[in-house]
Parts: sequence; C-alpha cells; structure tokens
Amino acid sequence: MSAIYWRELKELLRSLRFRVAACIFLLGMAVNGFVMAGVYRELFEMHREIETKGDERIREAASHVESLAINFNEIFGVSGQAEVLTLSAPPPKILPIVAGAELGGLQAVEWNFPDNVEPADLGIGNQELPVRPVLDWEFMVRILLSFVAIILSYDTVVGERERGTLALTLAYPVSRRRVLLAKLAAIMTLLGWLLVAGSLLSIFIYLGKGGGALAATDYARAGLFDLGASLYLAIFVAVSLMVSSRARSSVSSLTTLLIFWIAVTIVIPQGGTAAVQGSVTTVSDVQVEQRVMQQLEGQVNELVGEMDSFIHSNPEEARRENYASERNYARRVNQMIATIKASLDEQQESHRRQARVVQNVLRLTPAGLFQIGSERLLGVGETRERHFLQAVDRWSGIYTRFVEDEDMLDADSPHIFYVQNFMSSRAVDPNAVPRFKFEEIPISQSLKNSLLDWSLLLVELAVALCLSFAWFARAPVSQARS
Amino acid sequence: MNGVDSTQMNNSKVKHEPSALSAVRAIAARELREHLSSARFRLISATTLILVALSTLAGIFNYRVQAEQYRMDLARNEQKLHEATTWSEIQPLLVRPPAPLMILNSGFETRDGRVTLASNSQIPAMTEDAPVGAPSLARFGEFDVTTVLIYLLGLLAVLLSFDAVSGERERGTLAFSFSNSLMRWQILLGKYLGGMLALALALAMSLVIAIIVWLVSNVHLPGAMWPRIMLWLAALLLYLSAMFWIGLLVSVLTRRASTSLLVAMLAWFALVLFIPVVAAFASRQLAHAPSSYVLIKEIQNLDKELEDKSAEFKKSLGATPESEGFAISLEQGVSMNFYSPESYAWWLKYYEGRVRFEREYAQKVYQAIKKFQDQNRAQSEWAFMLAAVSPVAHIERVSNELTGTSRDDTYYFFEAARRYQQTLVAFYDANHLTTNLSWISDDPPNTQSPFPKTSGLDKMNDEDSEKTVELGKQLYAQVLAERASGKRTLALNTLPRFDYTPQPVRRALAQVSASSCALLLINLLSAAAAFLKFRRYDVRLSGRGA
Repeated sequence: MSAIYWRELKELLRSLRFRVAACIFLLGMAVNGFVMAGVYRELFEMHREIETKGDERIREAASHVESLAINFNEIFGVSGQAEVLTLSAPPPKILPIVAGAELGGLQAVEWNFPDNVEPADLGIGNQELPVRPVLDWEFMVRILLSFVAIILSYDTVVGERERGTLALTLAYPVSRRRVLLAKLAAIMTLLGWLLVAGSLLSIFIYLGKGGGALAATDYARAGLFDLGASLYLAIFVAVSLMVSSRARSSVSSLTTLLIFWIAVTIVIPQGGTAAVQGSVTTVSDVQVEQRVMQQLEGQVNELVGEMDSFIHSNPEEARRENYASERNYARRVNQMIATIKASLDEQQESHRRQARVVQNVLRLTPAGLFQIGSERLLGVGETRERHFLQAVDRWSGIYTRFVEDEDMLDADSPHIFYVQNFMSSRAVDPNAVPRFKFEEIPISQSLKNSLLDWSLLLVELAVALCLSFAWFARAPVSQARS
Repeated sequence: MNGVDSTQMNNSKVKHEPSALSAVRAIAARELREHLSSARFRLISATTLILVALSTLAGIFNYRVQAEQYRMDLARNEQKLHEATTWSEIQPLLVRPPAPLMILNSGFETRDGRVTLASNSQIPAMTEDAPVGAPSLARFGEFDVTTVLIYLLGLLAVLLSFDAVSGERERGTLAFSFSNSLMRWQILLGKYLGGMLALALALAMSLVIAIIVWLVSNVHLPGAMWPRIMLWLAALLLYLSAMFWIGLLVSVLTRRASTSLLVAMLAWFALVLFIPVVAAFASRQLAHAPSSYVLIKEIQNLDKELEDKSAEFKKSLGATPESEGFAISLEQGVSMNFYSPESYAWWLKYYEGRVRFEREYAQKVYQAIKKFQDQNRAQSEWAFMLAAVSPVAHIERVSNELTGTSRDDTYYFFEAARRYQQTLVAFYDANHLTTNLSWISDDPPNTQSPFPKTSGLDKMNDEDSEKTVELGKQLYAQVLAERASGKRTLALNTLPRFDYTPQPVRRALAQVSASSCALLLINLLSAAAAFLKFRRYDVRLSGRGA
C-alpha cells in the first residue's frame, strides 16, 4: 500500500497542475498576509483612538458624580456636553484567517447611559469598489483549495483506466479499499503540505508587516483551522474519487465534479442567502424611529404638561416636598429611556433572527458548514458580535451601580437618578471608574460553538468515503470498448 | 473521349465545390446541432433559466422597495417645504430616482442612499440616508440576472469550446474534415459561429424568461429602456464571445480533451474568480484610501470650527439687546421667543455674518468629501487595472453603465444636485433673502413686542409673571392659527425646483468605450492566436501523445 501511496504522491508532485495550483495558492496567501497587516493596523489605530477619547471623557466627567451619568445620556441629557460614548472591541489578531466577517469595520456601539446601545458604523471599506469576497484564509480554502482538490483527484481512477494502468495497480496484493485509501492519503498529504506552507507564509508576512502580535491561543486557533480545512477538503477528494470510479471518461468526470463544485460553493449559498434576505425581513431604522415616536408621544405630552411645575419650583419648596416633582420627572424620563431600549433591542433581535435563518440555509452545503464552523472556531462574526454586546451589557450594569453607589455615599445629595442638579456633585477618583474592556471568546467556548458544524462535516465525509469505497469496489478495470 | 468521361465522372463524384461561406455555414449548423443536444448545454441552460427567473424576482422585489422609498422621500420633501416657516429652514431634499434596469443588474444602485440635501450651508456630495434594506449578506455581491449570466453562461462558453478542436482530434473526426478540402480557418470560424449561436440562444431564452417574470409582476417596463437592454445584450454577447475564443484557444493549444478541460478550468477560475478578488484586495494596500471614519471626524472638526467662528462673531457684535419674552415650553420642546425690533436688527446682523461662514464651511466640507471620494475612486481604478486581463471586470463595468446603475450615474446625479444648489444660493441672493427678516422669522416685518420692558420672568413678581405667561400662551395660539390658515406661509412658488433626468444612453456609451474596446481586444487577440496555432495543429490521431 505504501508503494501506491508514494507513487501517487510523486506523480502529483511533479505534475503541472499541482505546480500551477500551488503557485496561485501561495501567491494568494502572500497577498493576504501583506494586505491584512495594513488592515489590522488601521483598525487597531481606530480602536486605540476611540479608547483614548473615551478614557478622556470619563476622566473629565469624574469631577462630579452626576456628570458620570448625564454627560453620557444624549437622549435626555440636559447638559450641553451630553454625547453618546463609543465603545469598541479591538480587531481580532488572527485577522487574516476569517477576516471577511470582520472587515466591515470595528465591532462598536454607541452607548447611552444607562443601557441603550446602538450599533456604531465605524466602517472601513471602499464604496467605489464592486462587492467582492475578501481574500482571507477561509475564502482560499473554501473556494480555491476545494477547486484544487477536485483538479488533483478527478482522474485518479478514470485517468488510470484511460492510460491502461489501472489493471496494474489493482494487481498489487492489496485490497481495493487499501488502494483507494492510499490514493486518498497521497492527495490529502499534498493538500496538507500546501495548506501548512500557505499558512506559514501568510503569518510570516503578516507579522513582518506589522500585523497583531499573535498569542499562543491564536496559533492554536490557526492550527485547528487548518485541521478543519483538511476535513473540508477531504470531502471534495472523497466525492472526486467517487465520481472518478464511475465516470466513463476523465472529461465527463471533471465536468460532473465542476458542476458539483459550482453548486456547492457558489450557487446554493448565494441563492439561498438572497432568498432569505427577500423573505425574512428585519426591522429598519425608519421603522424603529416611527415606533419610538408613536410610543413616546403620549409619555412626552404628559411630561411636558408637568414641566411647568418642575421649572417653577424653587429649591426650598422642592426639598420640603422631598423633591416630589423631580422624582416624578426622573421616573418618566427613565420610562422613556426603557421604551427606546426596547425598540432598539427588538431591531437587533430581528437582525439576529435573519442571520440565524441564513446560517441554517448555509448549512445545506459543506462550504456553508465550513464557513460557519471557521467563524465560530475563530471567535469572529456573529458569535463575536453577540459576545461583545453581552460584555457591553455587563459593563453598563457595573458602571451604573458604581455611579449610584458613589452618589449614595454623599449625604447632601438628593439621590434623584438621573436628573441634573439633583445628584451628588462630589468628585470621584477617575481611576476607580470601571472601564469597558473586551475579552475575546475563550478557545474552549469557540470549540463548543463550532462543534455542530464540524460534526456535520465529519458525517458528510464519512458518507462520501463509504460511497467512494463502494463504487470503487465495483469499478471496471479496463476501458469499455465504445 | 476519356477526358470527357473522366470529367463527367469527376463531376458526378465530386459535388459542386462549396463556396467558402457555405462551408462555414454547414460547419456552424452541425456544431449548433451538436451543442443543443449535448448534456452540458442542456444542464447549464436549464440551471441558468431557473436562476434568471429567481434573480429577476429578487430584482423586482428590490426595485419595488427602492421605488417606494423614492415616493416616500419625495412626499417627505414636499411636506418639509410646506412646513417651513422661515427661509433658513428651507433644505430641499434631492432624491435620486431608482433605475428600472436595476432589476437586471443591481450594480451600485443600493450601495448608497437616495437622498441628499442642498442648502445655504450644504453642498450635496454624499447621501444623507443609509441604503434601505439590510446590507448584503452574500459575499460574492448581489445575486442579480447579470451575475448569473456572467458566471453560468461564461462557464458554458468555455465548456462548449474547450474540446472543439482537441476533442474532435481524439475522436478522429478532425482529420476527416480536411478530406473535404476545407480550409483550416473555415473550420475554426464555423465552430465559433456554431458555438456563438448556441450561446446567443441561451442568452435570448434568459432574456425572455426575465421579461416574462417582469411583465407578470406588474412592474412597468418603460419603452425608453429597450435601447439600453439591447446594448446590454450586445455587451454580454461580446463577453461570451471572448470566453468562447479563450476556450477555443485552449483547445488548439492542447492535444487531449482532458488536458484542454483542465487548462480551460484553471483559466476560467483564474479569470472569473481569482483575479478580480485578488485585484480588489491588493488595491487596498497598493493605493491607500481613507476610511469613512476619518472623513466623519474631519467633518465634525469643520462643524466645530463653524460654531466657534459664529460664537466669536456673536461676541464681536457686542451684547445682545435684551429680548423681552423668554423660552416658554408649549409643546414638545418647542419654545417661543418674542423679540423686540432692536433684537431683530441685531440677529439680522449676526446672520449676515453667519451666512457667509456657512458658505465657506460648505465649500470646505465639500472639498473634504471630494478628496475622500477621489482617493477611494483611485483605489478602485487600481483594482480595475489589476484585473484588466479578465473579461469579467470589463463586462461588469459595461453592464453597470448601460443599465444606469454605475458609480458614474450616482456622480451624474450629484453634479446636477450641485448645480441646483448654486441656483438655490443665487435665488437667495437675488431676492435678498439672507438679509431679510424672513430668513429667521415668520413674524411680519416691523413687529412690535407685546411685552412690557422687563428683564425676565424670574425677576417679576408672581402676578405679573403669571399674566405674562398667559399672554405668551395666547400669542402662541394666535401664531399657530395664523400658520394653519396659511397667513404666514412662505412664497414657495418662485423657489427653483430640482428637475432631474438620469444620464442619457450616449453618455453611458462614451463611458464604456474603453472597456468595450478591451473586450473586443481580448476577442481579437484570442482569435488571432487560435487561428495561428491551428495552422500548425497536428490533426492526426496517432503521433505524439494520443
């Protein structure tokens, strides 16, 4: 068996098609490393700027406990300086691998005290360019290497039959299954080498050109990605072997495989995604605005009606009534903020719903499974977005509690949350204010998230292998006289 | 006698020597028949027709959404104009109409919003609204009819031609063709014509399906669109022809059909999928373009500059004369300010300066946006240049221009919008509107303040302040009634209106001349190479490497 293996390996290695494919693949990986380094630096600069500006604003606001609340409430912040705070996540250091998901820009939100978030559009992207897939590792494997896998293996059986050497190969004292296994192993070895060489090349150039310094977990993820890629490619090789056993000529084998490839990698994912976008609608910004306006109308009128009493009250009287009208005002304002948050959350939920349907449609093909599995394994894309939003949510809770606690420490403060001039005006140590820090999804959780997709791929591979064994077992040895 | 006999025999044996063209015709007919009955033609054509139907439906859906948005924006503009009570509030919304042919080719149509603003302080250069509909989740770009045709029919072109020569050689029929004293060029030309006819048939069927779906969906197909559709079809044929010649060239360069298919597939992959993606991607580093984040920051800085300048100017005018009256919240955050004639005069002096600053600011913002757009366009030109060897890059550009969904169409709209803004500013100046009270107030001129000279509500005693608030509410109700009855409306009938017609076809044709020539060039080069190589093609079945 090893004899067959080495023979196949040497033949493929020397063949023109492998050399051309290898050149194209390595060129792509080199360009990938080169460009991604630049993209990473750009995104990292943006993130650092946002972080610095946010830190400055918090330091400034720390002069009064009250400012920590109302300076960041743009919806009802009466202070002239009220402005949303932009919170962003740093770009993932393993950008080259699945950057397509992250290349729209930074993961960021506009945060309104106490807990309203709206996705921020910190885009980097050229509107003048036609939409093209991003040249990340995932694209290279999913589109290019799967094509190469087919090119290398479409004539494994039928080519030998045409040349007349199939009888010779099967004359070895090895079972047919072992022969097929040897062929499979040879092709997978080559693809594996190519994958590793490309990965190393890309990382080398990426680091050299100033991409993010990679930690051990990043290398681990890259390694796991390569493993997953091998799984994905093995499916294509298995299917090629299958078709190759049954085909009448190498031309028809390649044609069939080509049509299979186009359907699986391009037509079904594209068509499916477009169909979902047409049928599963999301809540648009205009709709959110309208809904919010509707719901708030009544509340705003009531508030305005009571505003007179609020404006005309004098401090002495107010204190005597235990700040009744101010508390009423605060209650109403917080109610309105909650209404707005509910609408924004609804919009986000509708987007997530659509994304889930798209994902399930993509799972129909191995290419889609690979895409989703890679994104989840590397902790990017939709899982990262959700993780980020959860982190923002947690932080805003901690921050709000901090502000309220600091206010309670001040005996002179009326403690009316969150109305200007009716909270504590003490200064706070700026370093004590909790800052937002984003932690990447731990690798163990990424593995758990992507388990379903990789398992499905494994099942598909098993099925393909069984079928190819079965068909090869019955494959005719010599060319049928036509 | 013998001579006569042999001549007669020769005449009966050998049919009338076929003319050059009829030979080509015969070959073409045979090729066409073969293609139409082949599995690959039927399979790919069927798939194409199904996908064309689906993508036309998707296009119609998108078009409806855009058309609806367009109508709503126009209505919103009218409403805003009628609600405005002062000239400084007039900010006409300029709306870009959707291109009907976006149903066939989405292009850049939905990459931008539809609305831009023109005013004294804003030169239109970017859209104000975000594009309607969720951003495209499909990574290969929009799923439209043109994309389906480019990918699938392009693939079909290559699959029909890759074994035209090498396949026949393997089957042994190529040598047979020469026994009919056919010239080599006739064979090649005949194969080309036969293949192109098959492709044209597939293309025509796709168009028919698209038109049927269009008509069934009750979307109006404007008659003026037909020249564009015809030109678009012609461009697609030119593209398919280029792909076919490339396939034929590959067929002529190789000896076995399986090798031909391999090389043809690698070529197809490189030209259609790989090169455009690498080119677009590499251009990011080769020609750096700023992100919109940087532009937004710049505009925010200019905003701050404008406000700072205005504040300084205000201070330089001295203290504001005390305004009798005060902000009274009467409805949804609306406050009523009542000013004395001295106050009005002071405010007019301020706005005179402010209007000037606004125009300077508008120019600066426009320059910033223009620079940003130019840099991004330079990057996309780089991407296009790098991919210039691929016919796909060219047909995409030509398609976009001919269907009116290209970037040039958007810029044409902005040019018209900018010209309109200049008309608007000229209109303001001609009627002295910026130095007029109506710039900032809808009060009739020479309005006297109804309030006694005081210095604010908080300095009055309770009784007086109550009376003043009552008076304020009365006056406000009166103003609202006057506005409702139309006594305070602006004379909008003389306001210049934005009248826009999209880029005409001949201008679009001028824009695509370069890419059309490129496609033609690819055609000619491949054809020439194929003809030259075929002259020395070894048609024998035996010989080197069967």
